[in-house]
Amino acid sequence: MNKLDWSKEQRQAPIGLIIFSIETIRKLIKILWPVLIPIIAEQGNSKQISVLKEQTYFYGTIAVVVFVMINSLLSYWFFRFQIINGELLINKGYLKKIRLSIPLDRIQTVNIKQNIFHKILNLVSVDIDTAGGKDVEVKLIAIKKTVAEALKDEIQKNAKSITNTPEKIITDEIKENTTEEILALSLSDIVKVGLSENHLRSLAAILGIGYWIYSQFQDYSGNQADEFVTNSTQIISSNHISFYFWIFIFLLMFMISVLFSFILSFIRFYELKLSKLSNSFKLSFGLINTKEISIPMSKIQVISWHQNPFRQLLRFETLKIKQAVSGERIKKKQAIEIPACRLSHQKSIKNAIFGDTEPSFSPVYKTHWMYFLRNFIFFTIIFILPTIFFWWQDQEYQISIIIYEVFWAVFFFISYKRRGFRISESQLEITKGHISKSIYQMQNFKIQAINYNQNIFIKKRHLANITIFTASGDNLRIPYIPEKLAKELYNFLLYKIESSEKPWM
Amino acid sequence: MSELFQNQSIELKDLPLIDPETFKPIENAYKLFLHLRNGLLFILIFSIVILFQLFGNSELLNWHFAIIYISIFIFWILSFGLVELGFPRKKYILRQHDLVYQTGYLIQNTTAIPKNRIQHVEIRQSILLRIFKLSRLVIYTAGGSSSDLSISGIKPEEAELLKEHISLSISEHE
Repeated sequence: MNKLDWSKEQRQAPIGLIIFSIETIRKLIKILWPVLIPIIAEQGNSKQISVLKEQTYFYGTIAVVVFVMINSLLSYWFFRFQIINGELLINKGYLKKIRLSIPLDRIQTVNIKQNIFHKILNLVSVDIDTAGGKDVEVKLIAIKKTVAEALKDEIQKNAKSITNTPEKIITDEIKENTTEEILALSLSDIVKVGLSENHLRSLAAILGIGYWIYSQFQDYSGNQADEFVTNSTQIISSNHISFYFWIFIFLLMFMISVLFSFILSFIRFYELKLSKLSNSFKLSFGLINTKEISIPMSKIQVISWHQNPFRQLLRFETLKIKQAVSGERIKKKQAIEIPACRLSHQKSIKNAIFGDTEPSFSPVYKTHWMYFLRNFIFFTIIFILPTIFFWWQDQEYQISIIIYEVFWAVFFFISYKRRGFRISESQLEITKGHISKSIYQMQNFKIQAINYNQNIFIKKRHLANITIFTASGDNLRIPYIPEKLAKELYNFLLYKIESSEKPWM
Repeated sequence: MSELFQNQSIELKDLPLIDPETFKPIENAYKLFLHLRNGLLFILIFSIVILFQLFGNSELLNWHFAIIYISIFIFWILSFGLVELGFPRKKYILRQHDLVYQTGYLIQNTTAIPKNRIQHVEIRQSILLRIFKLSRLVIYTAGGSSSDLSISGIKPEEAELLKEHISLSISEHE
């Protein structure tokens, strides 16, 4: 294999022009499909096409072909890549020019892929991805396999830890080590978890699935399904039985959703076991297929504790662990969930992640009551306002409006009351929630960016919002706190990040 | 100073405050660019409505259209005003350890990205920006797309310099 000189600007493989054309056509179809479908449908319907139309199609096709050729040629020509001083430099675009530079050691994954066209042309495409939200950062859509492998080697040489697929880390990490069991769910725990699930959510899921089945059924049997439904609704809506019938339906639905949550928690959490290795967690769970996940401590960005009123009675909290994600994985949005953490479990988990000594926290800083007012006005009063003309006409309307407003007032009041944060030298803790309560905890130095903002209304009142961006893709907001406190927090956290030498993942 | 970060007070003094005078403004040409872009957008909207009035056989009466035109025009004036008010607030500063960007009038944002958390940098130039000889610097972090910083309306040379500088300090941090 001849040695490649990466410091020279390179183009992708010339034969890859075909891939570029295919890519252009794909993009074109993606944009134009709403226009294309009617044209094709029309052509299928009418056998005779007028001369004028034929001409338009003819020139239209020529225009498209010319466009595709020119666009692929230009995109091919202007796409250049090179490696200089440990940085991957990409130049691309002819109308919109983009110059991208990625330090090699920031690259997380290099994936070499091949689709059917690539196979025919003996080419590959390379996806290069760094940590962080966006999609895959760089796509070399058509390069020779040897070049791709060499590029990967070159990147790997410079990178500290690189993996083909995210899952690779998991299997490597688990070696024979001193494992210390932190938590194991017993059968009775799972039963309790199942009973204390958020049943409203299960109900929504059931209704969703029900609708799906119904629509599938409708597709096959045409109007019969509809007829069945109208018949049954006629029976339902006749006055006699309606009241008891609805109570019955409600109870039935409720029981089904409890059962549903129950089965679901059995499938998900059966034999869940969390144990601590030297610098990672090991989690195994599942009824149908048992999964085993390793969670390296360094990858953990945010942990959160959730508690709904039922679980509060059981003194259970649900733990969610958020790890650093890269572009490809953010879509799956995998949060690791561990239900039924008792107080002792919570303590050992926190110790394992944050260190043994409990940090000395500041007092809890609360959100300003303006936050309640803003939410209430914004989300309820403004919606109600246009219908206020009916106020004098209908008493039923008055009552329903009052109930509606009181409900949301209570809701937003609770969620305002739950908002707060406290901070220590090493950790930030944010609380929020409405019916359920959530606590988010993170290490100060793992924060990625901070935003300080205030709209002109709250600026007058010397209030501000802080938003904290983490590498797990969660943005945490600390709304409506005094300006001075917000500035202090902003500066403090920046200082903590900037003075930290520790790797954040 | 409040009781919050007592032990930190010595180090905190060294940090510049959030809104010092030292911020660097965006090129003036960018304001013109924004006005032109908005103008083109509103002309497009106007022409769609005019075409619709002339050729679309709708039930709408002339005074309906008058209202539509007036409201589009009001929106144009508003967006013009917002650009005028917001432009002076568009500023950035490159400090020893971070990059801070300020923007917005109705919602005033200040975003800080520590240099040791920057993933990579990108320079973008659309056609319209190229006509104005301006470019856009986009700074990516691992914090997801909402924390990526994009500074529009700086000179290409300046963008290049910033990019070089940031790239250099990224490799230093490793």
